[in-house]
Amino acid sequence: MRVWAAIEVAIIIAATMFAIRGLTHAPSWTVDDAWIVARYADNLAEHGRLSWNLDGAAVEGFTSLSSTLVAALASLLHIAPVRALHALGVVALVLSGGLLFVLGRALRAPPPTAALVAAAHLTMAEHITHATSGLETEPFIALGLVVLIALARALRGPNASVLPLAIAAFVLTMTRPEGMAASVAALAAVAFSRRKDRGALRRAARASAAGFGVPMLVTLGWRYLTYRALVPNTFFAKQAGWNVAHLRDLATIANRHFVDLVVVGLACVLVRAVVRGRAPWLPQRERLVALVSAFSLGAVALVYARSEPVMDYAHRFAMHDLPWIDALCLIASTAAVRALRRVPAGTALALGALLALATASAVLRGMAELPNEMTRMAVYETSTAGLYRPMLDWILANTGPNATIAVFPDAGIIPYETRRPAIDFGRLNDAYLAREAHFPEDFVAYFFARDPDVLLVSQRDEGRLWDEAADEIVADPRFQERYTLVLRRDAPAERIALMLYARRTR
Amino acid sequence: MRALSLSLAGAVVLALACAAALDAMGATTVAFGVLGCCAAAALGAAQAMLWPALLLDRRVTSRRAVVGGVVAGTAAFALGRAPFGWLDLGAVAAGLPGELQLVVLPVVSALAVIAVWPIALRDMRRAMSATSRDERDEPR
Repeated sequence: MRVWAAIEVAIIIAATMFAIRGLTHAPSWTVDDAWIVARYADNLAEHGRLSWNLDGAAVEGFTSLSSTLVAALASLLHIAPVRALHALGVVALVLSGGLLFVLGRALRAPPPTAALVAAAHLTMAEHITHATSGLETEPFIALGLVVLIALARALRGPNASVLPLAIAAFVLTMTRPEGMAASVAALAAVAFSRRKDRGALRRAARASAAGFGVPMLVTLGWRYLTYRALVPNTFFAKQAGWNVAHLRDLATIANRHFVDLVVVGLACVLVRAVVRGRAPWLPQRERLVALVSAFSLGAVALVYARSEPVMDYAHRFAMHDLPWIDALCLIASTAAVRALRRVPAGTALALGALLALATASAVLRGMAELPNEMTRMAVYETSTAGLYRPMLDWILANTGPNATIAVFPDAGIIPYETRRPAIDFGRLNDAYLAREAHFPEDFVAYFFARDPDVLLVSQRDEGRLWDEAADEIVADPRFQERYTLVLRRDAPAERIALMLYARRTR
Repeated sequence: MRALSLSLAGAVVLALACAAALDAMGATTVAFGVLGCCAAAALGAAQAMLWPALLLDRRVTSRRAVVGGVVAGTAAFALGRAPFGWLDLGAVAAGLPGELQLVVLPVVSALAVIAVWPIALRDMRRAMSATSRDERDEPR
């Protein structure tokens, strides 16, 4: 047993080292939306106002409140907020192997079960992209694992503390609102496990209220009073009809990294059932963790199925499902390793070798994707530097500090670096456009009512701007009369272009 | 022993056919992957029981047959999907248009299954003739 425990630790360290090596070789890049978070953080740190612009109605155009607060703290300490966001992503990824190890221990998974899942998890090349992007993807994954660990510990018995689970659930929900599904399911699972012990149930309820319920109510109250909404503006901005993009990404990730392991695991359980004459039954703790994970997976999939997947690079939204997939895979592997102890040695050896093969397949597939991810980051950074830098220089040189910039749709680095008042026609940072403007003519009317000094607009295809509204604004006679094209930059490889229009006169 | 190994060989081939088919589909759909594996394991188990009974007129205990079939089917599944495994064939097929992939791999796999049958039949004849010889030579 000790040998297996040592092998488990060695595999997790090796997988973590693989991730660290990927991080050190990754090109320096920041996804445009991370600059949005940085703008909010700077506004909060320097002016005490958590909003996109310093004047006008406040808006919550970031998804992750916790990341924004960390970035604001960094800004207060004179550390660049984007650096803090990068650090959060990197630390979260490096810790995830250890978190899976702890989750394995909390679920009493026999070694080297946790190592199988950690190897499949950490060798996914997409992690390198997300850890260095500056967004909250990796912290959300790590916090999801923390919630599962706290849940497994809270399910140990009626006297186990629920407060760590409640606090972790609150932080998870503050990191991305989707965390609410897992949080509520986890706390409900604990309550269900204590349903026959009124004293333990009362203690769990008190801890849930103190660590999760009350802070959530305070946050929701603050959000409503400040922004007149119970969810971030990004929720309204991304609302769309049904789409299966997220489900497709989820299927790709599961198929590439986890299906082999789960299927071989189920075969081990089946063989054990045939040999012993009865099927094994999961202990209640594993059953409840599996149920919470399955529920979270389903709930998040449902939410994303009604959402427009903006900034969905490197299967980003499907990556948010990883904690729950990890947990399900860990439980399946645990059942498999336990089953192997109860079958004849030869069969156990063959099935054990197949488990190792399934893990190796996942690892190899993940490693094979690494060059693609490296290219993705490098191309993004080169393109954005080539597109945005000249625009930035022009705006800084030719407009005053109070000039209003309209962006269509990337609202990241240009508004951040120029520090000018900005209008986000990408809708994330504009409550009216996200909630009330439904037709292109609404966008046109809003544009001329706000009368910005500069319009920065992306071209998606040759002859077509970002969307119909952008096309209508630029084609409008008033625009032709008042604005002139001052700069255009092309990124032929991505078939996109960026155009800067400036108003001629007031 | 001969019956069991023959059964397992058949199971492997049939399960490989399933693995190939599911690899063509499972690249995009997890459900197909899982269903394909279940089919591979079930076919493996069924093969392990049916072949000896049909061809050799010998019986393998159902429990051993099911275990052998499941292990063989799972091995075929895991080996079939491994990046370095026999599904280099899959890599070749990956260059084909999507609709053709769905047809080519199962057809190739089916041909492979058919190719195994004569070997199995020959083995059966040998076994049967050996049995007859034993019976003939047996002292009366």
